[in-house]
Amino acid sequence: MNKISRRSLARYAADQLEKGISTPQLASQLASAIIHAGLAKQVDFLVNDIAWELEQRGRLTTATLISARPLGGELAMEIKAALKKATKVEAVLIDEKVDKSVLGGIRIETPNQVWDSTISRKLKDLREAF
Amino acid sequence: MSSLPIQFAQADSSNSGLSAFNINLKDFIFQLITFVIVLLVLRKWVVPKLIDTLDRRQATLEKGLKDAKATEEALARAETKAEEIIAKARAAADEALAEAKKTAVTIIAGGETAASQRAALIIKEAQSRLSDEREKLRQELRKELADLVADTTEKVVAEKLDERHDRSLIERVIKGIAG
Repeated sequence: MNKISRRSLARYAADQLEKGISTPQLASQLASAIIHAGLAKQVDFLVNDIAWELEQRGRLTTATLISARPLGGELAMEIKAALKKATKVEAVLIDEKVDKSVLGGIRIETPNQVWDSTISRKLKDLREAF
Repeated sequence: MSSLPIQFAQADSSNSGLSAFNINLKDFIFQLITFVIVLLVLRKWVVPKLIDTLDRRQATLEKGLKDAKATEEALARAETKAEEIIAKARAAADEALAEAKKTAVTIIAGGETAASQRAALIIKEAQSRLSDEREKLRQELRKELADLVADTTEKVVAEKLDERHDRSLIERVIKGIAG
């Protein structure tokens, strides 16, 4: 029997989610498949693959927002709207993180793209430019 | 007949011309005879031998002179030949010296050329190394300056960037994402 690839599992999971399968059911199916395929150590990668697949299909994107200060509801909503437009998805899920080391600005990570406009990034670029 | 000398002596016993010179005739004749005898003896036995000896000596001298002359001539010839040999040797030595000098000049010139080429190469390599070192130093200085600027900016921003300015930065990013 052929081994199942992580990408094909991700595609399957995306298909199932589009069909409206419940999350626990999907999780159970994926768990069996993961153990059978020997992908237990690659679960995190599988989750990213599923998120990527969903963004590719225009369904959903999950964005991690990293800033030096808490964003506040208004800014978060603005970012959500902007991401929706940029990624052309139906829905955006946001995960906010506060990291003082970025000094200022914001870093937005989606499965397909990264926008890094933090001050720490600019300073790093300045160092690397020389 | 009495001998003439005796007759002459008897005639002369009186006052003749000879007695005027106070000469004793008998003694004179006796001495004359003695002289003649001696002369004859000498002529017979001594003079030939003397002449022979003189002749031999003369021959020897002449031979010696002849030999000396020949020797002198041979010496002159030898000297001439020696001079010729010396002149030839001197000429050969001069030629060899000139050749050696010429070769030395050529070698020195060649050596100088090679040395100056080598020196030029060394200088070029040193200049190239210097240029590389200078560029390396410049890069390091730029990097240090960049680090200094970045560190200073980091400190300043960390202290000075307030919420309002941070928000405006984020809003600029949002505008960029939305397009």
